[in-house]
Formats: sequence, C-alpha cells, structure tokens
Amino acid sequence: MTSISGSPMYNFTLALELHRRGHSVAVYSMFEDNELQSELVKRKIMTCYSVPSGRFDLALISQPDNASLVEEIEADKIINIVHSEYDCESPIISKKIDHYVAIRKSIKDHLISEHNIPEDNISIIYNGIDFNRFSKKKKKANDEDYIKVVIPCTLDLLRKNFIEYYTKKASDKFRVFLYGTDYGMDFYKNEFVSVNPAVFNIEEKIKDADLVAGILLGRVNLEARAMGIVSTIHNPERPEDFSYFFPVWEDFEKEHDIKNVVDKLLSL
Amino acid sequence: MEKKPRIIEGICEYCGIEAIKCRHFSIVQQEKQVFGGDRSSKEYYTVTEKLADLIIPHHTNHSDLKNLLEMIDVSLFNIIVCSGQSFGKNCNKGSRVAETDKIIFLNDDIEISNEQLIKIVNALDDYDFVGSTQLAGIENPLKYWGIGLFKSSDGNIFHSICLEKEKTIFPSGFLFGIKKKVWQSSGGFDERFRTGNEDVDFGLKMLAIGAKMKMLDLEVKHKESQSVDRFKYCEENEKLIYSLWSQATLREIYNSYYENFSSLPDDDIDLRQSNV
Repeated sequence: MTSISGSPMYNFTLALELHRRGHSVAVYSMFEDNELQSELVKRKIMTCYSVPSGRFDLALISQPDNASLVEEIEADKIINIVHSEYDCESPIISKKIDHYVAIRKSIKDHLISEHNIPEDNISIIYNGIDFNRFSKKKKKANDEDYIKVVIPCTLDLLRKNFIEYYTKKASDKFRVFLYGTDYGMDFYKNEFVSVNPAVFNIEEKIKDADLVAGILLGRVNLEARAMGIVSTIHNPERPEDFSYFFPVWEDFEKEHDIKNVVDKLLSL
Repeated sequence: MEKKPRIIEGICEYCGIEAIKCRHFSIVQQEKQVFGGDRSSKEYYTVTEKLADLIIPHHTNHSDLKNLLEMIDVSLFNIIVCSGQSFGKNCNKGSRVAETDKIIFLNDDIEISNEQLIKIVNALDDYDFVGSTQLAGIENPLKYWGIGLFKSSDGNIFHSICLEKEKTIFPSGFLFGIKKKVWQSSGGFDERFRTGNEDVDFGLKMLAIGAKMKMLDLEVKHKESQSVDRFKYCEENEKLIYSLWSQATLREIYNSYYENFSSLPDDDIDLRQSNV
C-alpha cells in the first residue's frame, strides 16, 4: 500500500468489499501515509505492519515480495493472486499455496507455460472495480475545444515509449494529462502535456476525459469502462500496437463488479 | 493478415450489398491482435460495445471513402455506407438500420480521427445535435463553423456557412452527430431536397423543436463537396428551402438568435457561393 497503483488498489477494493459484507479483514502491507491507509483506518479495517497473528479462514496474497508471509501466516486456505506476466510479479511457488488467481487469461497461460503450475490450480478472476465509486453517473462531457487524454500511470522506463506515443502527439487540440508517481524518467513534453502526481481520487480526473490510455489491461481501463469512458490498451514496447477497450457492458459487469469478484474468490 | 474492409464501386466486396451495413467490419475487430504475436487465448473483452453508428453517404470518389474507412476503428463503430441516391436519401436510408442510440453522419471526403469521433459521441451524452468546425479545401484551407442566418441589403434573411463561431446557429451537414431518438422524431432529412439545403432545413427543424446543440471546434479536414449533382439543383433547392421557411419565420429566428449581439451578421454572399 505504498503507492496508488494497480496491485494496492486491487487489495484495497477487495478489503473494502469483504469488510462491507461483515467479514473481519486485516490488511498486511508496507503502508505509507496515504489515502489507502487513511481510508482503511477510517473504516476500522485492521492495518498491519507485521504478519498478523491468529488464524484466518482465508489469506489472499499478492506479489512475490510476500513469499515469506506464506510460510508465516496461519490460514485455512492461501490464495496467491498474480497481477501480470512480468518477473517482478511472479507467482509465489510454495506447497502452502492452495490456489492461484490470474487476473486475466494471458497470465494463466503464462503461469502454466513458464511456471509449470497445473491448469486446474489456476482460476481467472478479473480485477474488481467498485461500481459505486467508478460510476457512469459521474461521467461528464469535456466542453473544452480539445480532445482530453488522461493517462494514469507510473512514469517509469517500462512506460516511456507508451507515454511518448501520446506526448509527441500533444497539441492545442489534443492535450495529454498524466497522473502518476514520477521515478525521474525523462520523456518528451510540450506545453500541452500536463504532468501531475498520482492521485487517489482518479475518478475526478478521468470523468471528463475523451480518452483514457493505459498499457496491457490495467485498472485504468476498467475504471474508465465502469464510468462509460473509452480507453486504449497499448503494447508497452510497441505503443502503436493498441486496441480500444470498451467491452459490452453486461460482460464487463459480470467479470469486474467487485461484488462478483468477491463471490468468485470466496467460492474457490 | 488483418482483413481490411473495402468498398468497391459502392458495394461491399464481401456481402455485395449496395446500401451497406457491412457486418464484416465487426469480424475484423474480433480478430484483432491486441498485443501482437500469435495469441491463442481470447479474452472476453475482444467484443466491443459500439459507441455509435457512422453513416456515410457515398458518392463518386472511392479513394476518399477508402481513406476515410482506413481511419476509423471498426471495433468502436458500426459503419453504414449508403450510395446511389441523393445525400438526404442516402442518410435517411442509413439511419434506418442504425443499431445504437447515437448516429454520426459524415461526408466521405473528410479526414477524422477516432478520438475526434469519440469526442462527438461523448458530447451526445449532454447534447441532442453536435457539429464540428471544418478546415475546407486542400490548398489554403478555410476554417468554417456551421450555418448561420444573415440579412441582405434588401432586408431578406438568408442562410450561409459561417467563418465565425458567433454567427453559427447550427451545424452544417458535412459532419454531425445526433441522438437517434431525436433524428427519428424529426423524420430525418426532407427528401425533396436534391443534394443541397437538407442540412439547413434540418438545422432549422432542430431549432424549432428546441434541440440542445453543440458546436465542437475539432477542425476536421474536409476536401470539398463532391456529392453528385451537388450544384446542379441549387436554384431548385433554394426555392424549396424558402418555401418551407418563410421570411417571417426566418426573421423571427434571426432576431431571437442574434438579439444579444451588438453587431448583427452582415451580408456574406461570397461564402454563400463557396464549395462547402
């Protein structure tokens, strides 16, 4: 929970929905003094800086950094959630893991082919979105005489080509608004590129966007779709390779409504 | 290899129908490779909800139409190309097979990006009738807004395309979006017009019903009007528009629209004769 990015937002949304249903929830992470922590505290959800004691019915563990947690925590069932195919988000390989969740199909394929995890031991459960927070009702047409492109993403080398794909197109009629943690990456900017820090209330920044852009299938795509906004999914290495993301609503709701996602996780 | 939709002589080469609602365009989207390479696993989201129906009244210049179709992402839009009849009839015919609740009419000789189309779609959330500025002509293009009403030296009110935002009352027909229910309730274009003034009549109807309008300054490139018989029936079309809209009615619209401006629009006969 140190940054407002994909995996922390996944667990934050999950914790809130489990808490809303009356479950006793403890979130273990390296916390920073940010909205993720304060929102959890405000709702009286336990935030832990060390491995929480006691026995849990279910432990949902993200990211390989938490491999030691698998060995230390006491839980009836341990599920490892894998958020991408990148090495930095590799699955935790341990006999204590009961099941793996891949947040998209391509990750499941990757877990089978690259990590030899049995297919039966992997479920695809997509990212969950809070449809009350990211709602079509909040969408607002951009009345300005330019196309507003919002890019919520970490400003790092992985995304440099993608970011410059847009910033090099920026003009009076095509303005680019970046929101993300800046790791000092140098990239092309002009007067029509606005660079801003990561924000918790990203829905306020994208609600009047004409287009939201992201790489792979990130939360930004899902949050934009939930609000009725078209987004793009780019290949980070070849950003000119992209697809628009605006799936049929019924399919999207079935896969991404956090209520449905929690139902699926609890049924594993 | 990605299958590209192509239009040959106003007929879809896959389905062979002249007034085209080409289903093959959707197939292209489903086969599209998002991340490149041979991706065996298809995700649920490869089927995209269409944002709007694009209706393209097509006339003679096939290369312009092909260029336009190349620019449009078929995953986002239904594309309906209608040819063989007047501008108004082609548009009306296309609109009858539209499936979404937003329709965008666009000339086949424009250059438009998907982002510009999305912006029109978004504006249709809040407005009934949305137009755009155009950069018209190839060499030394002029920027036009929409259509306005002007007073001639003899006191008569006439319509013309406008160079200025303040004089624009409603969008011109080269490109506009409209909510389908508004289009349907209006009855669409009056087919008595013979490729000329349909948009003026339609804009006046929109004013009359109090449609909520918006002009976007998108500066869409427009080659020029290439409609068959575009200038053949000018006199006939002019007679028809002024028989449908009396000077008294036009004067009332003119006065009510411009009453807040200190300097009223003046004669601009040159623009009236332009090729836009």
